[in-house]
Amino acid sequence: MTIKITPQCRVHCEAHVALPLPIHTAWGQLRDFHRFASQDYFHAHIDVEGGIPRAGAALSILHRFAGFKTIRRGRILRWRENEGYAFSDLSLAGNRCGFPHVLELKLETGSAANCRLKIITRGPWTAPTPRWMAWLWLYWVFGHVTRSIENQLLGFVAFRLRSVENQALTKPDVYRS
Amino acid sequence: LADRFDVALAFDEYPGVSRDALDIPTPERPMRCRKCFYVLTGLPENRCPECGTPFDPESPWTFTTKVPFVWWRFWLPAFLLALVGGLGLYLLLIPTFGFGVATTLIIPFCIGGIVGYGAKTSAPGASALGVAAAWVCIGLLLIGGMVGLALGISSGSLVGGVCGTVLAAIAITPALMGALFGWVLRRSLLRSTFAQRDYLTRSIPLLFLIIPIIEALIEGRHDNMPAVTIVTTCDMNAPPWTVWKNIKFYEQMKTPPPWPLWLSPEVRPKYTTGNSARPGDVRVCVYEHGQLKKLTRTVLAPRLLSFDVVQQHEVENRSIRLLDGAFEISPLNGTTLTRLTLRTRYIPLLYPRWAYFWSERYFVHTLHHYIMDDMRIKAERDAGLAMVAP
Repeated sequence: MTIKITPQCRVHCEAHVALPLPIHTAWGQLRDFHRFASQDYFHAHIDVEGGIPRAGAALSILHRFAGFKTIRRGRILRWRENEGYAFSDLSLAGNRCGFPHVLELKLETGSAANCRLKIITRGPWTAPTPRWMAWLWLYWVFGHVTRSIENQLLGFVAFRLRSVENQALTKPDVYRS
Repeated sequence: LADRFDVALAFDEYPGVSRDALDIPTPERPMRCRKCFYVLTGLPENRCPECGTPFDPESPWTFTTKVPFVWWRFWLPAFLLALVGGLGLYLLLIPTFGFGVATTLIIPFCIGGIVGYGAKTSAPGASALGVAAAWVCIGLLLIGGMVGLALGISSGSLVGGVCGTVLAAIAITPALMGALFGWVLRRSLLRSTFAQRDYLTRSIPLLFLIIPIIEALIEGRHDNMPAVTIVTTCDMNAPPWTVWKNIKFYEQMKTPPPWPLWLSPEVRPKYTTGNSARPGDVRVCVYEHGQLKKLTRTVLAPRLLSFDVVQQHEVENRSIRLLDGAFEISPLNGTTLTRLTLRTRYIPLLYPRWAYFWSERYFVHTLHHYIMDDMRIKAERDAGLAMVAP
């Protein structure tokens, strides 16, 4: 996981998750947009315009933390089957305040049975805080987002391995070798 | 889509099927392939791209909205919540309120409740496994109880063994009842038509953690208990003087003690020194690990011999504080039948009283009977010899 904040306060956070899944299988899980977009600490509820996630769909994101609630807006910027998606998370007060950022989940092919998920957050840091403080904050939040997404997908890997084992056990002996 | 299913249900298009039995997709719970759990929302054709299984968004039997079942995610959160919450409650309530109903019954019940409520037996394809996982949790609780028992026994004293057994028994029964209650509660809520039930899902485990604190606040502190007196009587076919002459202290007994007294080295007597013939005499009773000093208070032959325990050193000091004792002899039928009454007074140190009182009673009565049976045999033998002698 890398977190970079330039002197101009541009944020670029990036993390890579190696998955022992074919890319299309991983995408089959990742396309549960509500689930993966809600892995942020603060994202309590997400409304997608029209209900079905697709490129260009407007988002209404309810943020909730320690009893405080606020609604932010966004849009699904990119939705490419078997590749990934990106969405924006902006303040209702304007595009230049409240850390406007884009979260991108992108799958990259490894081998036939493996793939890699790239998680990227980009945007300008707008709060009047020292850079080290912003770094600590992003380290905490982005680290949590990365771990949560990874845990969700590894949970599916565990399920899949178990299913494969069960299938192997139920097959006749002739196939086991 | 969800609205369409609701309308279909309202018009009874799926006769005999409740809303819960249908997998009604929502944005938070999208359609998934029944075979490979691929998320099917927004696909150009009604066929799973992963495994090729066809589905029909209009027919809830052709897809599922449930996420893949992962067994450790299924039971571990509830178990961890029960474990951490239970330990936290014990650490909070025992020093603050002592051992009362809240700490001995309500906490294990609520811990079991969290486990039972958290064990989702309706998970997809996991009903049998879910039940098994719930029982694994209960089994772990049982093992925890057993560890308590083992620790009690390994402490090497009677009080350790009794404490371990009692605490294990106290904790396990309400924990099992709580697990059953939690499981039934979850099932009932799933089947109920209560409109606000969705909001209860997360608050009920929290409620399970708050209930013991509320109960402890209502119950209040458990401070020192008043002294307990345990009395045992025995009738003997011997005159009072013969019984008086055969008075023996526990530490003077020669016959092997019964098993409850033999179990703990702290109450296994070695020998006794001093005497108790006159008021003010001191008898020192030495045990395997400690000693008792008994100061004779009253000697009224052949009616009463009473003593105070002036020193108790490593003789079940953690369970009781001995105060005094007495031998009372009263003639019942002229000179041939005598009633011997043994009296022991102590301050109990173990809580909750309702759980420990029975074991203390049993222990002291056993000790009394052990002494009195020996005295009776010897007194009746002496009385018989006295009758034969003339």
